[in-house]
Amino acid sequence: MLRLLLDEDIKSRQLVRLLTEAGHDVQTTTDLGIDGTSDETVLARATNETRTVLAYNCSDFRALHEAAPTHAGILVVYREPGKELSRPDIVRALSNLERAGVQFADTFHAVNHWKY
Amino acid sequence: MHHDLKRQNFNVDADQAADLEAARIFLNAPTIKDAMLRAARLVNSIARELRTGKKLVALDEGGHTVRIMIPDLEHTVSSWIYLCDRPHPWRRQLYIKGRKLMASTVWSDMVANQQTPEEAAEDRDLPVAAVIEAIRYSEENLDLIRMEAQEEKQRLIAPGVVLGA
Repeated sequence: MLRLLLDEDIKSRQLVRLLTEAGHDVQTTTDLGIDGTSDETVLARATNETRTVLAYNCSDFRALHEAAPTHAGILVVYREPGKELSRPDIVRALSNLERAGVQFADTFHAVNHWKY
Repeated sequence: MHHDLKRQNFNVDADQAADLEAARIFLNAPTIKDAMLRAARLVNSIARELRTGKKLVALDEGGHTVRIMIPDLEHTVSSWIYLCDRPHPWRRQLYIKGRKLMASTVWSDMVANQQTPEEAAEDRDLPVAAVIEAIRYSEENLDLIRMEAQEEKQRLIAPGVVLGA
């Protein structure tokens, strides 16, 4: 079971429902009242709450990870027109990551290739 | 440093030549080429500000505020109701107003999850009209969206992030 904080760009009712049904503990930036705030604020809040950030905003969170690599994990979904992961794909990729025993704390992962 | 140079070659009539010369003088540029480059930078700067919802104003002789309308720029700005620019180091595509959410994300999520615009709107707590506008914007700016996806990919691959096939 992952403790996740869904960033503003990825959160949707459907994804929250699918992740919750898969057994994850999910909160969104809306739940925490931090919609519209900076990525730094989102990551700081996730770190305080020991939650792994899940976001579409790959390169900006990558830059944050390089600047401050102590956090509860950053998972991103890279998007390219015509090759996007569906929400069930994202949930499956997270399950595969978790099943593989990947450590999340202080790490940055793109989940795309974990969809199989 | 090596720069790739691209030749710009076009003809102008006498009136257009006069316009270019007037722009050169207004901008205090040494050549027509410099004037055109300065004009392009100026227009881009103003357009970016206008796309955030700001208005262009000036003070008249009496110190009163006067709105300045530039039809070409106003048209570009006002064509989107639910979308706006957000400051970002390299992204130029538009976002949903009031959200840290790119218009293209709304569109691509809808496509990837085989949703109708109504379902996408409900899923994201957005007006259906905003979703429809995000779809139109994305379809009209697919080249930009693709290029920014490639830029992001390079920024991930460079430090060794694995993306897979």
